[in-house]
Amino acid sequence: MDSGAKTTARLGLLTALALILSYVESLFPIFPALPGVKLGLSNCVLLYAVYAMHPRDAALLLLLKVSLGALLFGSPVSFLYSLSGGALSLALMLLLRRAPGLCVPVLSIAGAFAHNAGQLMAAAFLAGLAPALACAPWLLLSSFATGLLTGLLARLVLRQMKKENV
Amino acid sequence: MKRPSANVIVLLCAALLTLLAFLPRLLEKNAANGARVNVYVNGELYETLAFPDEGETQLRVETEDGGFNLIAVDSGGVFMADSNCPHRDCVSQGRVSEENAESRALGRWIICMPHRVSVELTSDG
Repeated sequence: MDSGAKTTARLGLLTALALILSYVESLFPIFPALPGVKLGLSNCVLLYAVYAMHPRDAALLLLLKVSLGALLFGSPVSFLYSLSGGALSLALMLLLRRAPGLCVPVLSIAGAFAHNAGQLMAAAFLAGLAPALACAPWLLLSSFATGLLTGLLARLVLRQMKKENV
Repeated sequence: MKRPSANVIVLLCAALLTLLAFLPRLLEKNAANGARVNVYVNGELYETLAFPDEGETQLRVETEDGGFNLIAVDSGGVFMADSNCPHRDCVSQGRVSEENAESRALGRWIICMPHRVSVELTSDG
């Protein structure tokens, strides 16, 4: 089992990694014509936490990433978008992580889908239901591709970590 | 019958919800003539713009925290001429016209999420 100090160090490292990944990603928008469509590389970090850490620590990691991300690169509005997306995504991934036979890429797709659905809910609340519904089709469809990519990446990381016995 | 695996169930649920999101777009009927433009701020109707006979109509929307969106309407359609939001996605979304409203990713909408400003090309009324 983890000691307190080890968990704290791990959380710090993972928070920094998640922050830098989402910052680097924001420099290269992949599909500017569609609001909210992004690769979600920091989801790899969260996926690792979902499988390898206590749910409480994974939730803490999300909260740190979302609030520090908004303070450093965002705004109150962007904080609400990423919090609602992140919370719904993490909740679903924690719920499904022990489902028998569920592979990492599919859990990642579920997480990406929930993230985008959560953002749409925030958008419906902040900007109105009709524009949120206009964004929904392609945003939800994109989560299959982005979730698959980050999920495959996370599976590579998880396998390597197991081999190295970290 | 063999029980479907968790992978299949999860993917199927997500696919079904996505299909559901596409439904309104597929059922949308063609717009009539006499279109106008609705501008929404924070989800509420802020102003309605008519298509000018000539030239260009502009509307500048200011948000509380110093943000702005410049919406322009001319005979060819409506577009976001300028904005000071972080990635200027709304400006990249380009022009909406009666011709392209069905093929655009966002349909009849131009949306600036960070500023909570949205523009709809509409035909009813």
